Parts: sequence; C-alpha cells; structure tokens
Amino acid sequence: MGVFKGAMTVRRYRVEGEVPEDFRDRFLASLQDHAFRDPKNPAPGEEHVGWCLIQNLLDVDFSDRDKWLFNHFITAALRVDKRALPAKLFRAHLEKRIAAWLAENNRQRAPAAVKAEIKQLLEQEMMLKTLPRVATYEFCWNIVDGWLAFHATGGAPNDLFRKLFRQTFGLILTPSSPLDLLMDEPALVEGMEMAGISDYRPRGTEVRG
Amino acid sequence: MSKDAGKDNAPTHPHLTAEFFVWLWYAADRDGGNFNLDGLGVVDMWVEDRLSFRVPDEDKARAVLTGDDTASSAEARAALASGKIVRDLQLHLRHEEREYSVTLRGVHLDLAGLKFPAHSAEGEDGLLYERMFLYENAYAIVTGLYRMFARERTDLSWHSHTLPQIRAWVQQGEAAIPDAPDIDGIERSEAPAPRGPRPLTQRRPAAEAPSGPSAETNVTDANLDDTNAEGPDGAPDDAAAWAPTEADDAGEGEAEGEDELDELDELHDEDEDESAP
Repeated sequence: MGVFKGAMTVRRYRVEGEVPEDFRDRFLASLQDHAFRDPKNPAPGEEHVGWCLIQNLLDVDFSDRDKWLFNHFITAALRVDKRALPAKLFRAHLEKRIAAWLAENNRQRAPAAVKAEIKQLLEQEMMLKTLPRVATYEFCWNIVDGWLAFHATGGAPNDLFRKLFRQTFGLILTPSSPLDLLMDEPALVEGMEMAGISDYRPRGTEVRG
Repeated sequence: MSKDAGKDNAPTHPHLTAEFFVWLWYAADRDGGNFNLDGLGVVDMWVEDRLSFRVPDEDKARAVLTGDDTASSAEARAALASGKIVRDLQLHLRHEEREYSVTLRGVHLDLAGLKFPAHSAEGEDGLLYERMFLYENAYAIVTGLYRMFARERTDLSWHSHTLPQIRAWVQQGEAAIPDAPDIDGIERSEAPAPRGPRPLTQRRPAAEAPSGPSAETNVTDANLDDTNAEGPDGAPDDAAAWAPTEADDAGEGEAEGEDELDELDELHDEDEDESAP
C-alpha cells in the first residue's frame, strides 16, 4: 500500500527551504549517501535506517533517476530494520553456556564478569543468524509545490523520516496543520486561532463520561 | 484554548480538529450531504460506517462504532453527549465522477485508508501522476470542507445559532436539524443530489429513532480489554478489543464488524510493521 498501489494512509508535510537548481545530481548523491546499508555488527534492539527504492526494498542504488524522479515528483522509501533475539531461546542458550563453563572450570558459581562475557559473545553469535524485522514507509515529494506525502501516520516512523530527510536533503519538514488549509485567508486563520472550545453536549448533560 | 505545538513545532489546535469532525457529521445531515466548495463546485459527502471516539486529554480510541448507519445511531450521539471526542471519521466523498473513501484521523488531519476510483493509467509514470492527482483532489475536498467549517466557526452566528443547533442535533438526531445559517462566503447547494447509502428520503423520523442500542451498530469499547494498549508509536490497536453486542449475539452485523476491523488492521499496517522487535 502506498505510492503506486493500494489505499493511502498519509501524513502531509510542508517542505521548508529551497530545492537547489542542480537537485538532480545533488539529490542523487545524497540518496546514495543515505541509502540503506546492512549493518556489519548489529546489536539487539538497534534500528538501522536508510533509503531504498519504492519498487523493491532490496534496491538501494539510486543511480538510475528514472526509478525515483518522476517529472516533479521524488519518491523513495524509508527502510527501518530492527533485530531482536528470541528472549526464551537466548536465555536457554545462555544457561547452557554458563553450565558448560562451570563444568569446565569445576566451579559452583560463575563470576559476574564471566557471565557478562558469555552473554556478549552469545548475543553476537546469535545476532548474525537472526533475520531483521523490516518495515518500509514510502514518500512522494512534489518539489514544485513544496509538499510531501509520507505514507505512515505513526509517531515513530514520522520522527525517523523527518530526521533522515533533513540529513539527506538539508530541508526541514513541517507537518501540515489544518490551519495551513486556510493560509490564503489570514483573517480566517486568525479567527480560528482565537476560537475557544465548543461544548457540543446538550444542556443539562455536561458531565464527562 | 488548547494549542498544541508539541515536538512538531507546528500548532495543531486539536480542539478545532475534533470540532471539525463533529461539524462534518452534523453538516452532512443538515446540508443533505451536498456542499458547494470554493474552486471545486458541488461535492457530496457523507459519514461512512465507522466512527471512533476518545476522551479528552487522551489520544487513543476509547470506543469504536461500526455497522450500518453508524452515524445516525443512538450510540454515536450518546458518545458525543457524554463528552467523548470524535477521533477518526470515515467519510465517503464524491466529486464529479470520482468517489473516495477516507478516514480523517488525528490533529494533523491525516488521511488514512484513502481509496481511489479505479485507475486508468498504465506504467509507473502514469500511475504515479494519476494517483497523485486523485490524492490532491481528495485533499482539496477536505481543504474545501475545512474552509467551510472555518467560516461557520468564526462567524458570529456560531454561538447564537450553529452551536445550539448542534446540541439539539446531538440530543434529538436529524429531526432537530434546521436550515444552515446564511454566512458570507458560503454558497449553499440548491437541490441536494442523490447520495450514498442513506438518502434523505429514507431518514428515520426522530420519533422512531431507537433510544437504546441499535441492532445494526456494533460498539467496541476500547476499555474492555487491556490488550488495547497503544501501539509501538502511540497508535491504538483498536482491533485488539472487541465487545460482542446484541447484534453479534443475534448473528447480525458480525461479518460487517469484522470487515471493518480488518480494514482497521490495514489502516494500522504501518504501526504494526513498526512493532518489529
């Protein structure tokens, strides 16, 4: 579901700042720089983010502009990978490793430092075998009119997106406020900003349920 | 006056968005679903079969109503009368030959589950241009409706005329709906065009309106189950809580309710994706 197919669930942004004249080359380089890369040493719970093409989340080469620049629209997807170890399986392996250490060293208890080292090694070992949970969130940016539709409404993906967008393009995203819809009528905006809260409850029933 | 800038640094005035949702619901009844919008002309709009409510100062949904004729149900108005705030509003929009279904959500007026008319374009370029055109058209309709709301909301007649009428509508239903106020800048449609699922001629007279839970409406109380905890990014998982109703027990409306929940699941796809450990 997103830019090319399915129902759209989008938050709209205003893009603050000027798009440079050489944006074709500059944005290509920026997208390449911030494209998604598999982490070499993933840590449990750590998120890895970067851009990928909308067509396939494994495509992270932006050198072909025809895949992401459509006249005055720029499209791409934010890819977010997160690895997590299965807690019960990890604990079971950890107990086995500690038991093996105790047997090997003929000890009743393992020192904390030894436990920590065993745990760290096991984490690294298991993380390399664990597949990430992958999420992608598409966007479509109208560089002429200065708006952008990001295909997610949740707080976390929007925060990640705005941060990476700024790092990549050097431009700031501001979520559209409903009052933006009235920008061509300043008097209306002013009136709305001064409007208080209307209580719709019928008289005599003003008890919060 | 509530003015929430939050970390977005964009004032959102959440109370105005909530009022907009109620006004849309009310105005759809009052104006027969026909609106003459600046730059667009006549647009038909009606509330579809899903409404969700929250309580003041909370963002997560506390009650979700689904089923046939939800917008005119006694439960929906009872939720308003008890002080609950409309959180999501599912609308059907019709402009010229194009029809859209969309849920307006949250203080930013996010468009969720926006469904377009069938596409005619082929190829990536054509598809993108057509879908963006349709998105812009739907967004323009929402803009036009918000502008109409703003004009009524800032007019002097709001407190003397419109608000009392909305209160009466909340209490009595459609029977209480008067004519729209005469406001500069708002041009009313002359003759209501036939509209979606519930034509005006089929409205239920107030005297026959059910006073208790309607058999056609499914009520989901999001408080009934702790599993309705917020999603990983603060979005509620409405589908997690499902309260059986008389309709369910009778086997009526269950399938529709499940369809609605399936749809809701789709709307929260991003949120669920993001829950990846």
